[in-house]
Amino acid sequence: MTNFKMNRRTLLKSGAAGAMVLAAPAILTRQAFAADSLTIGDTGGPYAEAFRLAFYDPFEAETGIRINNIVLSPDPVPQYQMLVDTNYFLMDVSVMTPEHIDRLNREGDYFEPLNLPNVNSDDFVQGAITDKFAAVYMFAISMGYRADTLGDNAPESWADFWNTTQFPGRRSLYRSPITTMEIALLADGVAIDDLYPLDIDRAFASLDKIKNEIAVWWTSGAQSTQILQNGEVDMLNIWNTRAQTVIDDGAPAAISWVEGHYNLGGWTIPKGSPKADMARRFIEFTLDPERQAKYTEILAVSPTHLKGYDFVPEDKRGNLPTAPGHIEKLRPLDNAYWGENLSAVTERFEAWLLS
Amino acid sequence: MSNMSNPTTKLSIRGLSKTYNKTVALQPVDLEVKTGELLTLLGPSGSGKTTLLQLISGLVDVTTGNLVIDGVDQTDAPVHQRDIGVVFQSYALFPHLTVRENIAFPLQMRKVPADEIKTRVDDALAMVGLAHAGDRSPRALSGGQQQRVALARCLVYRPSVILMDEPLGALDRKLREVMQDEIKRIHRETGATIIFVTHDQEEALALSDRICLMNNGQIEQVGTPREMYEAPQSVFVADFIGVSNIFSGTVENGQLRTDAGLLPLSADAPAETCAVMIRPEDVILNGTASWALKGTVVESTYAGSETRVTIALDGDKSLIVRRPAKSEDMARGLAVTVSWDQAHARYLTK
Amino acid sequence: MSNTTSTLPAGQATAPRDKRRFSIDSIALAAPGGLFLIVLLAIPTLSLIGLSFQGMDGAFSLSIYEQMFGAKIYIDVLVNTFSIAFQATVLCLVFGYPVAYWLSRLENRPRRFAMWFVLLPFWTGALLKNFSWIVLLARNGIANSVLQSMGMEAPADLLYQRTTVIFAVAHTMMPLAIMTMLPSMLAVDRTLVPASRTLGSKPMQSFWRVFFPLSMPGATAAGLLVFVSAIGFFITPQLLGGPRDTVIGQLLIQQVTQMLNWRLAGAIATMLLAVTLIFVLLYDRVFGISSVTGGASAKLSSGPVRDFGHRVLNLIAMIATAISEAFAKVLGGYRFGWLLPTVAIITVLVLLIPVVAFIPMAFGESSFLEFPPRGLSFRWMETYLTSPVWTDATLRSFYIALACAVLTAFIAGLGGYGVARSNGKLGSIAFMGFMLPMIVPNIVIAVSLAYFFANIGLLATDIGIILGHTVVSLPVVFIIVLTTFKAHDWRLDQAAATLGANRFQVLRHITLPMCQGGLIAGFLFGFLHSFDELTIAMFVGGGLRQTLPKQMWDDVILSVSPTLAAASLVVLLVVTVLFVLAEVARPRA
Repeated sequence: MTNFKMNRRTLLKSGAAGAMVLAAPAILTRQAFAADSLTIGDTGGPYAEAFRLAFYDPFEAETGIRINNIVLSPDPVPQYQMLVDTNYFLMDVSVMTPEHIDRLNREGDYFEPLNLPNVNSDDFVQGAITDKFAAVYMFAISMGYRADTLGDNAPESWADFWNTTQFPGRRSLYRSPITTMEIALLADGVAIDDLYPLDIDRAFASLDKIKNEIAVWWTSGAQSTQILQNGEVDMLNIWNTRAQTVIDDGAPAAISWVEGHYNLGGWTIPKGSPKADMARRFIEFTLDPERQAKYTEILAVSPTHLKGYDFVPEDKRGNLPTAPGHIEKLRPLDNAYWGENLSAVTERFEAWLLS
Repeated sequence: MSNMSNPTTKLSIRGLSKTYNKTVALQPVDLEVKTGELLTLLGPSGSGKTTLLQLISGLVDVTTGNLVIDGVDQTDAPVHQRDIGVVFQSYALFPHLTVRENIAFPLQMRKVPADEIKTRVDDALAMVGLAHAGDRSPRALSGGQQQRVALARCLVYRPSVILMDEPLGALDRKLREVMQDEIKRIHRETGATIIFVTHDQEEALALSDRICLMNNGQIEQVGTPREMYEAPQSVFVADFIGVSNIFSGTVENGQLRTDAGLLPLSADAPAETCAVMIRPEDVILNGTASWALKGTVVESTYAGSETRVTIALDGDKSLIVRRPAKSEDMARGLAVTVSWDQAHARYLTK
Repeated sequence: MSNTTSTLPAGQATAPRDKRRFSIDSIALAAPGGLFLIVLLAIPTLSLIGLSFQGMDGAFSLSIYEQMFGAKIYIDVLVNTFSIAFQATVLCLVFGYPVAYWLSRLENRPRRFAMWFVLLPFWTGALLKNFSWIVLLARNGIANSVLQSMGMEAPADLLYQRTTVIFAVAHTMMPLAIMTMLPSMLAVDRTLVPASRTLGSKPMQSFWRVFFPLSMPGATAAGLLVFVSAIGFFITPQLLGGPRDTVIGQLLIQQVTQMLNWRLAGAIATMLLAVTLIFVLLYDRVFGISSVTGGASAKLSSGPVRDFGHRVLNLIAMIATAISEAFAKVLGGYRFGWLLPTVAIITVLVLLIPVVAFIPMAFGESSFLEFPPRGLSFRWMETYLTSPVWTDATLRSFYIALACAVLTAFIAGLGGYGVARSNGKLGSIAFMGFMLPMIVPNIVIAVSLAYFFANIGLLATDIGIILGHTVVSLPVVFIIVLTTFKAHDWRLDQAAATLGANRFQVLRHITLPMCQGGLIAGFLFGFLHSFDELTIAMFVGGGLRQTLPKQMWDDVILSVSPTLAAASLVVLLVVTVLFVLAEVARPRA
């Protein structure tokens, strides 16, 4: 086991021989669940539930390989980097977005090639299948709001969101420049098709106007769910899946799809993973259109397989980003732009928040 | 003691009692303390002497009765308005203040002007012989020195009554005797009224103008040391003050029948006499009196100025005799007779 | 001192030499602890500091500091951090003092009972309590419902406010403050206040001029400990604060776990450590650091600070007396005896609210955490018990805590024995050494260790977490063991030696059985400390080795399901049981 080797090597290197005794339980435990199981890093919450239903349990039933899942950090890039750098394979398959992949590619070679000979990329939405990435769902980020407090006077654009006199209410935004910069420009009158490359100075100028009205800067999907669900805020930018969870729970919330963005999420295999082959088997398993459609019972994301939509239950179709009436209003997020600019813009964004 | 020649009442206690959750700590008692007098509250632990002291100080609320100081009823007055001083057994010196600050504390509480505080503290320090130690921490002083600071802190504001709760209990014997003299001197020089609690009868005899002996939450007897020693009014007093030989029994034909045999009673002995007490120094060994008890020497202890002899009598009774140290040794087992002069015997009725 | 003297002929020549040899012997037992702290505290911290002074090429450079001080954000955040920590410390002292005072005046039995309600929130950890506030203080939460039922019109914005952050930080640290203040209050001679009353001081004067200054060592120690802990504390600002409430801890998390920027992290940590140490030194100048260790000295400090202190206290005493007399006049001799217990009991109840509120939330039906919860269901309990993520994290926490407790008890046990038996200068140096992990902010230790472990390949390993937990739990365990050994009557050991027992037999048959209560308590507190620990687990675990608190933290950040409440309930149970055991085992002074 690579893992054990690493431990032994470092122990000898640091000369902490006595620590071996302490390490014993760790090594034992690690080996105990090493046999015929895969660990998947996903984004938790409704995603984990939906993937369990659609992929994990059926895969276990078919192959006997047990699937464990862990929740990734809000920004999984450093964790992924450390995992590959230290050869500690906490997970064998990890969910990523193209933006994460772009950033990791700038750091070095972090992915195992997927090598999926049986998969034809033409069967999938554009950009879903590359040599390192296999997208299994499509999600959107747009506007969520409370139907009980806003009622008939719901905001219908980001300009409305910025208009605090006509649309009173408590507001929240994502504490990350991704999509927050985009909506700041949209609110300032930039057309949705002319956004990229972003005019960062103009975006910050626009954000200055709304800054004092933002009660909460949410940091994770779970937090955005929580504050919409319990009415802490009246309107916010939010992933459609997270807002849908609130709606499904019976809270008086609604989604406005206008001027939103969509992106892909899918599997990658960390470079050097000892279970790469098993991981490939799992990934191929999830690229089936009917299996993908299954997750829509819990999770409001769209299948990446072009035939997937046909298997989605009638009553769930209206919630998906790809539903007619939604998809026309959405634009793809520019992953390459963010891959290149995220850290610089983030630093400025954080400084702006504190000022 | 000049004040004693014209005694006025300083403090008067009428029917004062204390009950804790149905446990009676002090039965209703009456007591008068004269101005300038040093009165000791003496008694075994649990006799109520400390309770009485706490009632006078106001640290404990009174259950019944009244307390009058200088003609003013102080029964319910708050502690800080009573104008009493207390010297605690543990001294209760404030460890965060210097010796000087400790002594200045009661004056500051009384809003005495700063320059007057300085002179009075200096005087108090001089009086207890600690003029050099004013800026030290109390913790850096010896037990005897701490005791002096506690005294000075109490004297400095000239309270009308000073209460001392076993203040010498923590000192060794030598130091205790020095401090007893010190207290007597200060008492003499200041003319303060002092109530002094102790369980040590020798200390009480040495210090007091009067002794108030307490037992079981009651006052047994109040009197001068001489009265207490020479004329005890009960077996308890006779037994507690000094060393005594007590024979209890019943009166029969002008004699007292005891376990040790028949003892003669003088003509003036009360009819209800229940015990005879004789001090060890008054016992005559192998005397020529018309009567005597037979006994055997069981122990003879040489103690420098005297020899103490223990003699076994009939009926498992033993008797202590004090003899001048120069007298001849008495070997163990020696048969002797004991007797005493009737004038030295005390007849106790309770 | 030595039990060997009794077996030797008591010759003039041998006795002194033997004595000296023994004192070297016993302090040498602190050596493993010293070595441990040098390797795992001093070297990591110094190498991280060193790194921050290097340029990309490894040569000396201040470039990272230029970058840091160039961006105003880091200074702003440092100011935030200290301002929040300072205000929370003041709150802790102002409200913790009456509670400790109230506890100190209770009889022994009721005090032991009441103390459990203070210690329970202490050991249940910061994460759970702070998350509870998110639910309770939400705009449509129970606190606002209560306020509105009392006639307030619009719901108050309680969350994401600086005031709330300060309140919650103080709330988290309050038990620590109370437990630090209590011993010095109990140590105040009970006759002093009555004595001052007989000397003519009014009740208020007695309190302010006698009791209060005597209780100061505990209060100043509490102030320092709370302040230093609050400096490295990030949970509350992260969960309950807005961007303007960002603290250094959050920036360090960002730089280390997201940006992997060790140099900048090193510079931030260096700045934090420097400011903290300057603060501690100033504190020492003003109050004397011995107050932290609770040592009473026969020497009174002198100088302007002391004079000033006494003047301030005199003034407070005068004002307090005037106020209480004015009240008494207006209200006609009305007594205020009820005021202290009322304030104290309300404070303790507020301490308990978030802990107790979690219990019903674990059994709600909704997929969200709500208070009060709707319906009754065991599904979240079941999810917790059947999810390998949660059970793995729980098991890992258990064996990490166990290993940490063993290691800590061993090191602290030897060190405590050595220091307790030595009166020399080495003893006090060793004592300060063992206390160091309390003075260095936890987050600095965590980042330094993460960097150090990354270099030697222990990052993201269980051993790394165990070693890190041992570093931070050493002071508490050491103090428990030390007080136990100090309270031990060593004449009994000498007696055993005169009866023919050799050193080992004395240890086995006399010392250990008599001190076992304290040793067991030390072991259990080491376990609890590790079982609760988040900061080290977050940095050293590298996001890969999940302990239960780290898993809970991730859940708070990432999924916020009632599984969290179910897990918290398990933590609460484990902690309560162990804590009760530890309290029962702990010897009473």
